[in-house]
Amino acid sequence: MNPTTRKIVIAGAMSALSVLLGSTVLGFIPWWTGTSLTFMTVPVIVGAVLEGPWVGLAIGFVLGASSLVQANIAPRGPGDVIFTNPLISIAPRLFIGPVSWLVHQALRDQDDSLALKVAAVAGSLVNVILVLVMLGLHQSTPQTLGNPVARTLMFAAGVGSALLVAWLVYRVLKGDRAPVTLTVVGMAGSLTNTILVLGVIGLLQIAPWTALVPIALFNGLPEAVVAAIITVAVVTAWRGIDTGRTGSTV
Amino acid sequence: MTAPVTPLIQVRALGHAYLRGTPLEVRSLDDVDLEVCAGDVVGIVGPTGSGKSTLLQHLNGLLPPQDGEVWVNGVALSDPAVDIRAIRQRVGLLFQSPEDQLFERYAGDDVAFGPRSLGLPAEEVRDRVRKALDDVGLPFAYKDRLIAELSEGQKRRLALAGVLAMEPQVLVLDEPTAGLDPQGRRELLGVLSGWCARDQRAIVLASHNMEDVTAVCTYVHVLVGGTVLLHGLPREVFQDADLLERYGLAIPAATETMHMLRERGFPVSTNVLFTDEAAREIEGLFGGRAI
Amino acid sequence: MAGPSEFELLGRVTIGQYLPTGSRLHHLDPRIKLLMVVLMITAVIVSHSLVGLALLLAVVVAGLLSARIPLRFALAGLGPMLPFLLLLALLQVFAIPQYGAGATVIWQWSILKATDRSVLAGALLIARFTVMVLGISLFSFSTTTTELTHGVEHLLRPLQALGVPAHEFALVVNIAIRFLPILAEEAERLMKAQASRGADFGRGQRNFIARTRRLLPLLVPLFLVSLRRAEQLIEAMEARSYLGGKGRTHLISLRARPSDYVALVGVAGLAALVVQLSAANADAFAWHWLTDRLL
Repeated sequence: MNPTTRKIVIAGAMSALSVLLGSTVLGFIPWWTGTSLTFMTVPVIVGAVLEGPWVGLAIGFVLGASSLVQANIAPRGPGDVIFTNPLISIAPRLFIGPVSWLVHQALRDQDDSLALKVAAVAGSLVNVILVLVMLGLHQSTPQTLGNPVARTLMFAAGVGSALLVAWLVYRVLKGDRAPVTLTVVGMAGSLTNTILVLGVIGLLQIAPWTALVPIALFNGLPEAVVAAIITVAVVTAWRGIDTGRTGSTV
Repeated sequence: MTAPVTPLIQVRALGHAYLRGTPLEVRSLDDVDLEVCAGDVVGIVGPTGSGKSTLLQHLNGLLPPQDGEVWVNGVALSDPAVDIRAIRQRVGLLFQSPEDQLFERYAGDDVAFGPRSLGLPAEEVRDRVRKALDDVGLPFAYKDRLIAELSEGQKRRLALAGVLAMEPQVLVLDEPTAGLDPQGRRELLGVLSGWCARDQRAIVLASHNMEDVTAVCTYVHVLVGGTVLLHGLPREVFQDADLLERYGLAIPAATETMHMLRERGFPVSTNVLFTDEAAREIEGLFGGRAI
Repeated sequence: MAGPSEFELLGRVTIGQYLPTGSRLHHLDPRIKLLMVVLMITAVIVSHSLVGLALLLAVVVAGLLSARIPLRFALAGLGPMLPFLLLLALLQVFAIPQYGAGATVIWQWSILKATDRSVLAGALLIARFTVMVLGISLFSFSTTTTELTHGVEHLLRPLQALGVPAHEFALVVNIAIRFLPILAEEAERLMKAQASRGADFGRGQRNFIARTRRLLPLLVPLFLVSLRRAEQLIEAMEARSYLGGKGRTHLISLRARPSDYVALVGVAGLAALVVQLSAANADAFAWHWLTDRLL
């Protein structure tokens, strides 16, 4: 593999941006759960979409290393304690870029059959994730899920959201609209971060799963939405992609 | 100016240091006085790093005064209770290369940013966008143009419209013509003089370009190392060619030519700012015959 | 009210916080220092022994003293985390079910239950974080960013033979470090320009919608400016025929001295000892030894 000058420089510039977002007020939105929403992952996603998985990997590494150092020598808040562990601050961030790139590749030039396949996979993945979440909940609070009504509701919610996601993904792939693709890419990149960071925290038993699942839902999902909005705005502006509007709102 | 009026902006003994109180402290302004009255176009001239940008950022309260005081319409900016958003609305500031800071896709949305952040109703936002585009010489239909497809000069004027849409009384500009071609420069300076001539307005502009300063400014401050070295009418200030050159400041080409002729022993006046004045002086050398 | 730091971003970017005291630790080969940090982190993560972590802590504190870095500088990083650190430790003690099953209960109040294992887990958590914070502070206070990028590149060089683009990665880090102040300045300029047009950047505002809405005008041009600057740099590098790492020579050559190797072997030995202590269940031994003497 021989990276081009372009890849190196874009990786450097986006790394700098992710460090800037990650270490100043610029990259955070205060949020009612007490944990700020962050979108310092967006430069990683943008870098991966523009220049490929290796560039995303490099940016992710720099972002992770900087949040490791940041947490150690100048923590922004008490939550930074967790990020003093490189397994949490660096390792998950390595996957943001490659995952974003894969999703972008899968959605970019699709034909009908592929669209269906990806939609099906996405739908079932959502189902699997929800099932795992429920298992986690079950393990810690058996009495809640022991209730048949609660269990039925959960099951219905799981199947319903899986179907919804499958339909959305199918529409996206059929429609071939770059902004919609980028929305999915942005969300995928951001969720990769959320899921892996929380996953490692859970696996290392630093905090119990029951505390992590609500964070994933109440922080991870809005974070993914914000990341998607920014990703779409940046990439469409940079590439001059048509967003379907024809004039100002004035 | 006619009768003595309260200045729109008044700066007294202003001092500023970056990283104050650390070993890395850098003084960027020292004991600066400045006054801006209605109708004035005040030029701030100085080499790079002379504190021009720092001074401009004090005029609308982006930087609060560390030493000395700044008054806008008689309101002291060091007062912690000051309504800083009202001040920034009163004194509009356009940064260097403002076209880099356009962020919307469509021109109209960018101009509307200010009025919208003031919370104005849609109808009035539209009105202000129309007026601001008109002020900078762009047709209202440009509101639906893609910013990416405008020329550099048009983008610069669009950015200016974004500030004018706040309807400020004083307009502060940092190097407004840098990087424009002569045509774009002339157009922009025309827009500025036209805007300033109405409704008790005033302009403060920092520039490297002496031709800009002579073309529009009514008063000039020369800033060197954070202090005011010279100030006065453009004609007075540019008389001191030696002093200005010592600090690496160019003087207008016409003035410079006159200084050169004078050094070589020709009896011309150096009190010259424009080429037509220079031409008249040179004609004088030939006994008043047109050449 | 516009405080002086309302728009100041650079002051808060802390990467590369270097404290030039000129101690012997500052002069160690950066590659060696990097290796030492990696070894230390590994030991901290792997070890389950309080005795081992205490040993590491003692060595790190000794390092800080010999590097003439004021302890309050290094501890400053720990202060703001303390409440959360305690909360996490309490979670360990009371909320991780695995530590509760089959362990000796030493304290119980209604559903709150602390076992010997869960208390140990809480203590380990605090010890780990403390050692990590002080250790990495020591490294970053005594190493410049230039030394760091050189160190990374030299350490990764053997991987180059395997096809890993080590030189290129070091260049990425280098470019990032150079871009950082430029982008911070650019962001500051954007914020000021938008504040001049009525945007309100006062902190403390907690309205989610308002904050998100004023983010895009800031972030989109910031991304575009960095991409545009990157394009300019690409052009400049290609105009100078930059061809990548192959066959490039270095202006600065790193040479490790005997004292560097001594330090490295020392730290490697320490790391091995700490891991060994953990494996040998040294804590239980120490506990029995202490209780035998004291009781």
